Amino acid sequence: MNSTDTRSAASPATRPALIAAAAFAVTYIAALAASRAALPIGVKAGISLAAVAGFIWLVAAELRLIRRLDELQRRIQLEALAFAFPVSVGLLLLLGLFQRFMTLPVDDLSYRHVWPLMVLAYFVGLAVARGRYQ
Amino acid sequence: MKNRVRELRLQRGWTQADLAEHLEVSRQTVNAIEVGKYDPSLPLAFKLARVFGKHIHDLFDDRKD
Repeated sequence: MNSTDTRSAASPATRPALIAAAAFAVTYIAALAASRAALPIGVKAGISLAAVAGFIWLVAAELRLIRRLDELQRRIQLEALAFAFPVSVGLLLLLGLFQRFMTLPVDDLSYRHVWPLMVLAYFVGLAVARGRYQ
Repeated sequence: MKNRVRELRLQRGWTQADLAEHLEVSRQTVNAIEVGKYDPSLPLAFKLARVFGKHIHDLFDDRKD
């Protein structure tokens, strides 16, 4: 195995993770759409389970990718996650506290909003961490 | 930590990508080590020393001046 394959985001090593991320995004959007559609509950549950399967595929692909990274790349990933986790959870905590005494523009704020925030914060953290070591 | 990685690499006429391939790391990692933004782990430092046929203390200097 040649770990230099992981040099850029578009390298062959990252392709399976990107495909898994795209598959998860598609299944998740489909599950959201299905939840609002007039479909039998069994169909809605089936599509939601497909999103869970997409998520498991994404986690497995990410773990395989992380194991192929060298020590600096792993540190960069750790710093990105160390930024993303507290930022996204902290932001949700803040919104939850605000929700107790005021009406927020987002009506349906729930824990499922954590992950898009976390993804956004992860990419911000990744950019900052990559910049640190250039 | 100061190091002589760039100097030794250039002596051999290698690119950062060449050295990265020898070390089985990314080119970004080689660059970060060379510019002093990242201090390698002990196993990677040993690998660097072996690649250049030197001792670790010939490559790295932790003195401030």
